Amino acid sequence: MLLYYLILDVPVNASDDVIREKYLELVKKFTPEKNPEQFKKISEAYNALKDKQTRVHKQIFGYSEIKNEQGLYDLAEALRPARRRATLKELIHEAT
Amino acid sequence: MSKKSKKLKQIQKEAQRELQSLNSDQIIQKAKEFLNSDKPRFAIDILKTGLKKDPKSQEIQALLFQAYILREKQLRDKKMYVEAEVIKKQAMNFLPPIQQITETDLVSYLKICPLSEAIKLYAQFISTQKTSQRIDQLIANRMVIENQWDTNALPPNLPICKDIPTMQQAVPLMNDGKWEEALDVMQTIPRQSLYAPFRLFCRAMVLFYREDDQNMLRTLAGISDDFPLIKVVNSLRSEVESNTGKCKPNRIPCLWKGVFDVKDCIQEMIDGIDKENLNKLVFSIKKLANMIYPQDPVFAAFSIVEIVCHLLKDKWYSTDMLTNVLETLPYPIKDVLSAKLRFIYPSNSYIDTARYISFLEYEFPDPELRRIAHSKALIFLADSIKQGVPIISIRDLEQYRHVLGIKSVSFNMHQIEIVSESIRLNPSDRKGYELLVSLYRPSKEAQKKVEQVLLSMMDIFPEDPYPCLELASLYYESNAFRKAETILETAMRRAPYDQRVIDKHAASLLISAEKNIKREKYHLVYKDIERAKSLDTQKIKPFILEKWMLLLLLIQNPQHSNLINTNNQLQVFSIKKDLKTILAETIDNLPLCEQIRIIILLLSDLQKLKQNESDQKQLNQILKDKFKNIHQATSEDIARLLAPIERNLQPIYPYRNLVPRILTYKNDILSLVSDLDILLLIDIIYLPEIAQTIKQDIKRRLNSASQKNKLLFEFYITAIDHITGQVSDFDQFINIIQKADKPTIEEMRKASRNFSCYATGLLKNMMLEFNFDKTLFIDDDMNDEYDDDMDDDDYEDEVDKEAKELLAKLLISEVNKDNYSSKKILQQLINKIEEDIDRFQLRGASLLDIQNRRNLLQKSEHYDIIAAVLEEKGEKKQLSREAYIFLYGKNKYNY
Repeated sequence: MLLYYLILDVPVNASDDVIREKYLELVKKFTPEKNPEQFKKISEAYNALKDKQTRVHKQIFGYSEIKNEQGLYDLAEALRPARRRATLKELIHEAT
Repeated sequence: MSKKSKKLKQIQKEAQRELQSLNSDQIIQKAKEFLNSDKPRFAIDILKTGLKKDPKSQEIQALLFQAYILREKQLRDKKMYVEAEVIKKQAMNFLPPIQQITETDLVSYLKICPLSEAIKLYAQFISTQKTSQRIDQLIANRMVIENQWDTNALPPNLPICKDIPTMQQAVPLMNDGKWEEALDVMQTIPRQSLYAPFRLFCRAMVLFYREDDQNMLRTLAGISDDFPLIKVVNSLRSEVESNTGKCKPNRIPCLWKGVFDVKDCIQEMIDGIDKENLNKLVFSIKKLANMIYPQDPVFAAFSIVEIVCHLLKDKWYSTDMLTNVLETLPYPIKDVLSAKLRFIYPSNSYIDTARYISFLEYEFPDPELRRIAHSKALIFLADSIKQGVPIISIRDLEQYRHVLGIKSVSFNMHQIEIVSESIRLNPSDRKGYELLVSLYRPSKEAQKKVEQVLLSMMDIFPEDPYPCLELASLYYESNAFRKAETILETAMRRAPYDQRVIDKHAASLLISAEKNIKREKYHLVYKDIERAKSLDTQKIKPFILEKWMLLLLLIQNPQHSNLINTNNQLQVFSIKKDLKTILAETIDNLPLCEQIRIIILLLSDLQKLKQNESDQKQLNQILKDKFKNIHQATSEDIARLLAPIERNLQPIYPYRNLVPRILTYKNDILSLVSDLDILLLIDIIYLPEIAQTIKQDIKRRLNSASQKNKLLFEFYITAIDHITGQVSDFDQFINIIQKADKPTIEEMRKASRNFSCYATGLLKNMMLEFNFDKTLFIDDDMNDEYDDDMDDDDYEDEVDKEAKELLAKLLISEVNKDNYSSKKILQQLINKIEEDIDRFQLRGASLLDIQNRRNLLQKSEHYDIIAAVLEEKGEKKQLSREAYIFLYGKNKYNY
């Protein structure tokens, strides 16, 4: 569950609307053509959080579906630092 | 002054004296040495002395300029910007005249002077000397970096001036981080352009954000080391190369967001789990929680510990590590998680679910989410009860009754009540309704409950035909035909093109036709069948064809000959056809198994109606002939032939299971079904009267079966032996189960639950719970929880006692001529019988099933007495269909 909140970068008490807005923002940024992996992750996270029914279901039973250490590695993978969209100005500042 | 500083001063004086003694050439030589060895400070000192000696020396001035420029760079590298600015100003005092300045000196100066001045100087330089590619590149780089494009001082044909309009467009985009758009703009820049490195860099950035690292690396290879953003370029290179272990990543913070050490921390945690190092595990959990979700580390820790606990669940009882891990969480979160884990891996699903529900307020502070969670927990409980009813004491049940929504005492009703409560809490969740409908309805009370819930579902999902269809099934089940038809009309209004609705509609028309056949209203039967035909449903088609042939045969019966003449609607049947022609026209194009099924149904219908005896004989012969070719059919087709008719059509075909009948034509038909299909088939066709045939067939398969199937076959044989009372050795079950692997055990568990319907008493309980350890059920040292319960045998004794008491009371009231009491007691007896029907799970069962159960269960003579009393008092009409068959062995209605 936490994983999905972290992927969508929304607080744990976010409303349906906030989650949807964030999802739309992210899928615009990470389109399936350009970032298929990221898009898949975002979609999975959104499907788990999109409404109260699925959110509660995942909260109760989500972790019991984890069969081995993969769950933890998935967490690490999801929390892998993302590439931040830097501006040229910032890069010049770093370089000079 | 210390001795050391005195000595130092003396050395400096001597050096000064030495300098004074040097001539200009020597000074220049020495200064060049200092500059070459990157010591501009010494060079400046010596050159200043030289300048005092020879103030007009241009060479010394030029060297001094170089020395200041070099020193300025050193200071800037040390981030001593103020000092660097002072030195820069001093350097400008010694800037050689433009006619004499070398390219290297000019490059050095142009790097540090303002861009506008650099452009002017370069313009002067060009006018006196030749153009310089180095300076071109330097100025081009500076123009991009400073986003300044005033090149009026320069001749327009210089390479530097080309592509400026493109770059003017691209740079603001790059400054906004719009690398893709900037790259599109820069597509026109040629490779030879001074701005080409920026195009390459922009392309690399685009590839970086696409996470196409290999192509990014290839692009970066085209950028030279004098590129102003070389630090960024090297950082990007190192990021990719670090993945292959070539080097450590040299990250520029503005290119990343997030935490970099999570993977290491998780690795530490996994090491902690593997090595059962609690301290390491706990430390890494806390560290990780703070790292990944600093806003709410407790929530994060809850989630991490939950994952860890699921991973540790195999060691749940063997080590206390799990408890220790849970202890790392603060109160009450640790209790919440503990309850949650017990809920998901229950030892007693009633108690564990109720306990978890009592903690929901901590995990779901929002009341709406909490209600949904409560509902989902109840669904999970109802599902887990399917796996086997847990033992729960009356005391515990009383304690948690409210939380679980259980109202009745009967365990049979628990699942329905739990799911109904779940639906009440969360009416918009369809899963609850679907589960409720799939549950066995053990009593009229249960049917009523399901009806209420489905009616409420109709309001909540006003466009969905599903509740209407399920309600129709429910009404047909209780023979409420008119209600069923009305609700089906609603379904048709809601979704006229839904295949489920069409199938159900066709089935309802067949039910109506069946009713009209009994009433001999053949013109109405004709109408119903024609309408059913027009619906064109593949699923119901064989049954429509069967009823159509039945109608043809009945109408052609000489006793109905005047019907065709008197009824206009039946004129279509005026041309007489013999049975063979009817069959040829109707079913000849169907597969063999389908034909056989239809003929069997037709024959059964004719026998039931006691009509067309000659046709019956012919059909019998045709069936025998057809069965001669049955070996041509595939295992799958035969399995389909043997499978019971679907439940929806039970009002038309109460004898849903055709196997006993088929066996009279071909007693070894089961041998034509493959090992793969046979067990699945047995699960659905098993009946006590064919138990021996099934057992013989499985025995025959034992020798050639695979190891897995062999165990399963042995389990089935043992189950049949026990149900039929041939053997009573529960250790046989235990021995077989011990040899099986996990998936096989699960299949055995499923089979055991199926067979439990045909078992009674202790065997029934064992089969339901899939636990064949006798001591658990009959040992005196059973746990306290079980002591409070009544087992089936106790319950049966109790029922017997109650029935006998009622009969005794009835006798007394008869003697006293107390009519009021007699009527009341008779009603109580009827209720008792109905309760027994529910308890034996006979509600909605076929005639054959009830008769079989009647033979098995009628061991107490009080049933016979009750049957006789009710018959004598004329009260037997009050009995339900099932109770009637159970008491009198025949159907209440004239089917």
